[in-house]
Amino acid sequence: MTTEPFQITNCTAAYAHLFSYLDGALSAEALAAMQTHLANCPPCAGEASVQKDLKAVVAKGCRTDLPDGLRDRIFGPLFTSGHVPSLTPENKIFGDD
Amino acid sequence: MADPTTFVEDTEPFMESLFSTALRLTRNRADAEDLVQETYLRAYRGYEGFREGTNLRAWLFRILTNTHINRYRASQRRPEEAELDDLDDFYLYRKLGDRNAYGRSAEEELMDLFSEAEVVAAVENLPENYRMAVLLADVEGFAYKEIASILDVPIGTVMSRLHRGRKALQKELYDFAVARGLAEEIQPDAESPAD
Repeated sequence: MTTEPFQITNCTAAYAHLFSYLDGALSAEALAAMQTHLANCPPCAGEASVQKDLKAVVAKGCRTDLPDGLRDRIFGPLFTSGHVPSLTPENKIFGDD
Repeated sequence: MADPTTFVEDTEPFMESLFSTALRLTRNRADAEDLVQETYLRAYRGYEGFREGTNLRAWLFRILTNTHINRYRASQRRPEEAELDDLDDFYLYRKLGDRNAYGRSAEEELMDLFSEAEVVAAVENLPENYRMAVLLADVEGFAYKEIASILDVPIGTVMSRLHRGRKALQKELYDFAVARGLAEEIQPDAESPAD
């Protein structure tokens, strides 16, 4: 039994797969079909570009720095001394960051 | 109980992400801090049962989202679980692209029309179940399968919430831009917009 190759035959199909494409969730075959369509379709390429930008703005805008003192407030009570050891480079599991 | 130093070393790198997500869920800094604090407490209590080598970050986010939902139940408020209508396909670029006649790129259009703060406000306006999916996918970069396990829903539901949530987000942003008179539908014989 042969399988039909995955094709993106029109812009409606491209749009239906656009979010999955941007989320990195397409199979290799579907990804190739999508990339081919985008290479040959300026409106869909434009849509992909705008959606990608919007996703990046959401990602950047929704990030927040950790408030001062939250780490100590959270971890302090776990230690009988109430003092949280600082993760100095010598005893940090994760490499320098 | 798990060794606290090990727990701190293992889980500290995720605190900033957990807080960012908590802030967008609760929309209030004090509540976000409480949520993260309770999340870490539950994680610490359950840490010895957590299997090493499995997905710690997803496990922590699962505790965060569960704790958030439970806090609502305790306060007798229900999290917004409104269903968004399945909007027609919303081609943001094609809507904006009408202005391409004036020679500007789609990317420039986007950033001219919406500030980062407006995008964040639109995310925070999404009903909670959609907001959670969008945050986990777009801010935290979780795969669909991970989001499904964090939210304890099928992958199809994750994809549906992402589709609808993002469409609703874009429609709100576009409507907002139109209201500010920045994105009129350009008709062939319309006046040039002031720039």
